[in-house]
Amino acid sequence: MLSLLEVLGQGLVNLVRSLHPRRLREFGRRMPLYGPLALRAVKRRPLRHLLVGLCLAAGVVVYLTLSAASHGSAVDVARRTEVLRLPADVLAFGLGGEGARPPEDLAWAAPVGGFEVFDRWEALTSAGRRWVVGLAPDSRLWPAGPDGPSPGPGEALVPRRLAEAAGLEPGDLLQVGVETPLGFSGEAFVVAGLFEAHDDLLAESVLVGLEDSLALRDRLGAGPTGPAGPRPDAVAVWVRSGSTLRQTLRRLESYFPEATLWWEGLPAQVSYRAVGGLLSPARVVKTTVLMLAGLGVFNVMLLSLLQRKTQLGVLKALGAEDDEVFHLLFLEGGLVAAGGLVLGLAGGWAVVRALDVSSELLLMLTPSAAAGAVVLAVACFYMASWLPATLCRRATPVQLMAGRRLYLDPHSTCAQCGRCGGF
Amino acid sequence: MGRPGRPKGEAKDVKAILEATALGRRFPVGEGVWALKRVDLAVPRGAFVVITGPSGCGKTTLLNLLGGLDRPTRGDVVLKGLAYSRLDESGLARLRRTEIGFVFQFFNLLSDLTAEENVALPMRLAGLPPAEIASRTAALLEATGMSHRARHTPYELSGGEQQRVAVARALANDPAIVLADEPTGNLDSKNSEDIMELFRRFNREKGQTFVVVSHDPGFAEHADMVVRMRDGEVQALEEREGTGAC
Repeated sequence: MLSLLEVLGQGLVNLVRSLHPRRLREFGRRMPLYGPLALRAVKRRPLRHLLVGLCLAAGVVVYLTLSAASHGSAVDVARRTEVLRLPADVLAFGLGGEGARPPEDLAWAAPVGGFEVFDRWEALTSAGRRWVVGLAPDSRLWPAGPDGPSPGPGEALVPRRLAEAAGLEPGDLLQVGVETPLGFSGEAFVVAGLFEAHDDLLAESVLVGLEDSLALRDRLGAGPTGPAGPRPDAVAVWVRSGSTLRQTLRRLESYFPEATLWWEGLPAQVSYRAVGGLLSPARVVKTTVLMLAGLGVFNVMLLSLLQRKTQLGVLKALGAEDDEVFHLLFLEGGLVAAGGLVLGLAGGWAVVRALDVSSELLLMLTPSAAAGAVVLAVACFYMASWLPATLCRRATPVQLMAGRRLYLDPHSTCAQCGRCGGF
Repeated sequence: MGRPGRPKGEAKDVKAILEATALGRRFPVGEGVWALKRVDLAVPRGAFVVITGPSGCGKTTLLNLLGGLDRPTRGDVVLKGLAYSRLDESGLARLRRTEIGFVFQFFNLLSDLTAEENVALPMRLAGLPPAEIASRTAALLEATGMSHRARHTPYELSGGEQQRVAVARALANDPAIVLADEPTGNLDSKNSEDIMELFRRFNREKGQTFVVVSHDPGFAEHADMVVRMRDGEVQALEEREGTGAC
């Protein structure tokens, strides 16, 4: 007996072969004969075929309803999410708690870009001879978060890697230059200590106290939209080039756990964050329901075959080719599935409309969801019908007419007695 | 329609239309069962051949092999010079469509179709034009005495009527040979006689070749050749006068 994988593989090959244009053309030429035959077979057993159609229709209705609910939720969240129009592609994080909003004229922004040492000199300070390193205006500064290292006022923590590259030691003076509308301005910090940075972003950052950082930003002046003033309620940070939105969000959340985050981005990204947990289970549920509908189709199609073995055998005996009988069974099932699909699409639309009107949920049915339902339903039907049709194709007229057990691929020594299975 | 009738007494065409050579069929039941061990048979054109024998002697198996409904384990069948072993399943199906007619014990009409649709089915499978199908169907139903029941489904027909329709269906494409497996096995004596008479008439008047598997002595009485089988082999082959069969 062939292994299951071999059987499935062969089945896939036969399935593709059955869709060969030549074979379909041949069957198409015989449609005047097989079409009425298929229709007659469907009409003779209306209850059974109604069951098949209803199975598929139910699966499509559930699929469409869940799709509409998922999409509606995502759109709903996106609508309720503030999208800030900022002067640049920035992330804004408010230092307040849940519900805090940034001022509309958010202005302070410090570029979070590359790090560059532009100068290094020795200075005499009250604490002795110290090395001073000047950083470029676009040097990285990072307000220390509550869980991170905390330098005091006028102090800075420097990543060890950076310190070694620049020859810095604790006690050295670090001068940060910032460019303001009025010119270049510098701020000096004492290197209070070195730290091991586990984060790429931190590895190139100099940590200064929050107040110092904010004061430094004050030096930037008015900025594009607002005046310099008291400590702002919000600090804007440019996204580091190369970072992903999700990475940066996570980092900011870790540094500002008490803060409220706002971001400018695609609603889809926001929606994903908000309803990401909902989409995946919904997708699983609706696909599973359609597959269960396919299982119903399979059971009925198989029953239809097994009860008509003799008739199908006679058809073969009279000269119908194996492929023709194969396509005939698909045609019969296809007629019913088409009806079920139409019913399902109409029913799904009606259910979505009814729920949208009668409940607080926002449900939105999209063309892509309808297309997805059609494609999945057709695929489920095809896979469900393939086994019965293949059993019939492979059986000889004698096997069918004698009502013998049918096998997908019986071994040459198999007596087809049915003791080990078969259909 | 059909072949021109042969006057009674004239020798039938001696050329074999159907030949079975060293035909055998083994079924893989247990250690293997040879339902047909070795059969050599030549059926002359226009002959009325009856195959008889006790139950289980391989008659139906032989008929299935002659009709291309099953593949032999060994040997070959040649119909009008065409060897079955050289045909794939599609080829066999096409052969059955045009050259072989079947009559089964349990009629085996398609219940979804009316009598005339059943008769027309082989012609539609063969792709004949609709006009020709219609005229041949009408003629066949007339010849089998079923014109008045043309629009009835098999459920509405008696056993004898169903078998008449089955005979008409078997003759639809003017086949080279008609194979019948116990055609009267499910009928009462009156209907059996009617069916036998139908066979004889078509054989006599149209020169149709028949191979009939039957226990019914009525068939053997009028046969050109009687093949007696036992245990998967031909035990005796009796040719009647005037056949010239091989």
